[in-house]
Amino acid sequence: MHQGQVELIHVCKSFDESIAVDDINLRIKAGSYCCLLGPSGCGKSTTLRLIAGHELASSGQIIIDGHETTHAPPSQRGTAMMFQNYALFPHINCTENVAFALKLRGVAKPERRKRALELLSLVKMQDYGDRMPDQLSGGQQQRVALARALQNEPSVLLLDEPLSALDPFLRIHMRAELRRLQKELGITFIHVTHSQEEALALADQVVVMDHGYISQSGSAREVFRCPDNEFVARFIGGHNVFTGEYQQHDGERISLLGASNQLYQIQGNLHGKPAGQYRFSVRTDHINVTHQADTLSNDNVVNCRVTDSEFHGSYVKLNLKVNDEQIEFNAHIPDHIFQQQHVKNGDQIWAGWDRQHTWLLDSY
Amino acid sequence: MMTRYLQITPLLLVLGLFFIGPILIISIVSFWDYNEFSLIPDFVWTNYQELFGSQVTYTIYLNTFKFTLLTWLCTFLIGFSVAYFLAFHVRSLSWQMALFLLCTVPFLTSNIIRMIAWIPVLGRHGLVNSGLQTAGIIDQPLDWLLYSDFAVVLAFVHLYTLFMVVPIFNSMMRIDRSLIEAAYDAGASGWQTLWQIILPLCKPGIAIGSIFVITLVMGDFVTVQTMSGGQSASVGVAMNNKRALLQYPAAAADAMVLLVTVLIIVALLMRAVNIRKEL
Repeated sequence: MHQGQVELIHVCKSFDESIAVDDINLRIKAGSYCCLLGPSGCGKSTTLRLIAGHELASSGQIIIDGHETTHAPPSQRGTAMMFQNYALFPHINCTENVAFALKLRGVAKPERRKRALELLSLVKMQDYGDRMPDQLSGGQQQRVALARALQNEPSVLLLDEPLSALDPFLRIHMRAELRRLQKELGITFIHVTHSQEEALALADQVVVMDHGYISQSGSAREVFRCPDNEFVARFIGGHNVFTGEYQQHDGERISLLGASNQLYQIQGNLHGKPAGQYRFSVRTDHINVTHQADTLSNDNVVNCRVTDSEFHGSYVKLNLKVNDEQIEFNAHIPDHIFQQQHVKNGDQIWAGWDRQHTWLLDSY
Repeated sequence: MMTRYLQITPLLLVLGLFFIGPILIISIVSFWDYNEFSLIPDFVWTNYQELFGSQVTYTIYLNTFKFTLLTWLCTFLIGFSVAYFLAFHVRSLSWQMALFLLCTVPFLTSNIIRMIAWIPVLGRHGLVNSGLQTAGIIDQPLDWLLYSDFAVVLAFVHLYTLFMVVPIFNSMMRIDRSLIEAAYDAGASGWQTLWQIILPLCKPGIAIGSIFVITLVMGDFVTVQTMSGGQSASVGVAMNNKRALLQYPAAAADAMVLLVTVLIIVALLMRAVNIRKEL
């Protein structure tokens, strides 16, 4: 049976005058990998610290594995935290760092060492037990910090931007390692990050936060495919957001009129309140481009100019602007298609996408 | 090549004139002979022989060590507590600085005045005695308040606690706050965090403060003489007496032995704690 179900009920946290976390409701399944994602200052770290018990909620309840822990000290919550700068104790070696909690509980030294070595081998650091923290590289320090966080056998491991201090190569490697460890231990990991790529790669549940609110919570695919609002669509990346005035609709087929008299055909449910402004998103990889309008069979076609192109290896990112520059969007064209099309900067081209690839956003 | 030597010349001159020179002169004089009227340039060991041969020397050193140990203990306990309060309980930086400056205010008056100020407080008819008598706690004035070892240590603590506060405060301010959270996260109580994390990480600051206090107390003579009313002796007092009797070579030998003793203590402290990180 998995452990580590976390539930936040109407949790608020304010510092002096500013509100860091504003009435959050969140349920994280036991044994899942959850990423709190958002720009800096969105309240994701505060939320993590509230769960850890390093901040106390101004109001609301925090329930971990069925126990009300809103005011409990960190060590009695079944949580453990891994700090952003690792926070290894600089005056004792790795083994003693990892065995710190056991020492506090008065476990005898041989027993302590044995347990510390087990944890160090779990993170493949068993050969470094006698080193001092400042003799280790950033990646190694992180592994030791991870082992130390596991010493109290937590059911929820809280990671505060664990990968942000590592170089890109190591980051991808450690990412896989974290995922492996989470599966192996079967406990809940809650991981704070501002990298959507990290969140999508790791998480069973992605929680996108903004200004102390939860903008959207769901599986990585759900959040990426069906962003709830403009903020999520923009923050998660790979989406273009367009705006248009309601014209007419036929069931789920809606016509919108956007800037530059651009007519859009989109798909979605208006819930019986047609008139007004609407936003919708189109994924950058669902946009086709061509020099000849008649080769496009899409129901949305836009005449635009290429203002920039960036080579990304497997695809090319085009920055496109409609002539009067009121509409700007991106298209990711697979490199092999891009090479056949001879599209250059400054070219006047046609971009098109299908109605079923549009996603109606909640305007908020 | 030339410019390099020119660049170190000012420092060399200052150190040579005011530090190395005087020590050399004292060490040379400590080997001279003397009589009641004059100093006789010579190379004799008699000054040292008399010093080590006399039982008084050992008593005086023991007394000095006693003062040093008691003062060190008190300044450490007070200094650590004050620094802890400033570093961990005062949240805002401006309050921290304000309170820190407040600690340094007594240093704006001279040592002697701060010392003498204790006399009307601790005297037979002083503030404490008359206060206690008025309150009916004692019938007779307490004699041990002034002109006693208690008074000496009290004055030392009053004079030198700041030398302990500053380096320890400095050490504490360098402790990453997430270390304390990490200890708390692992289940450490306040005392356990203090004992296992904060105290070891303050060691360099404690060592630096200890060096200040120990060297100052070991070399002092004014405080001991004034506050003990001449009833207690220390190495400094003995040295000053010899100087007053114009026995300069004997006083110089005394000074050399004290210098070596203090250097040994400092060396032991440096061996135990790596203070280089703090400088």
